[in-house]
Amino acid sequence: MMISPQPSPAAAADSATDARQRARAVLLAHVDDVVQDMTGDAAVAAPEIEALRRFAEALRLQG
Amino acid sequence: MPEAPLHQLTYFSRSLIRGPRWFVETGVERMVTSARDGNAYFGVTGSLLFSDGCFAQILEGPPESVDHIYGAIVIDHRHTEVTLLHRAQVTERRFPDWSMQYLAEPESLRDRPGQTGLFERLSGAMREPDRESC
Repeated sequence: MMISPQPSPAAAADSATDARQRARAVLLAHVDDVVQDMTGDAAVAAPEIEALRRFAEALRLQG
Repeated sequence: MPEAPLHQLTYFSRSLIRGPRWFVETGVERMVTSARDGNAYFGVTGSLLFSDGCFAQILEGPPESVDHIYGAIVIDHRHTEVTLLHRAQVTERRFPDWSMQYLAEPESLRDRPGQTGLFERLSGAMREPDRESC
């Protein structure tokens, strides 16, 4: 019988941290895309773009 | 007197508010209004992004208040697949002036053809990367 190796608790925690970091990078890229698109849209007010930039900045600071 | 510790929490979820655009917008705005009242009471500030059928929210405030608000979101019938992205102690608020700032994509920028949905991309990133087979 083959027994699959189980990750150690520390390795599992590292893996979860990596996963969250990857997802934050996806979200950040999405917000950056939206900001870029909004910047070229005359119908969008500057405060809305600035608010999204602040959201992106907060994500960036999370590493 | 030292300030109480602040925690910042970020999550994403899939919205269960579905239907015609007016219905979705009304539903999200109603949710935001309610969230503002609750957050102000608990001393929580933050920013909520609604984009491509997903919510992404940053909450910041006293740890027990952030826990309370996040716990309510996890069981809120308007959210599903709520996924924690980040939680950490912070020294200052990033959104001190907002009990809940609401950001939504303008109509002109929605429905980008050929792009996988935001939720699918976020969920994919949360899974282990596929290992190449030998």
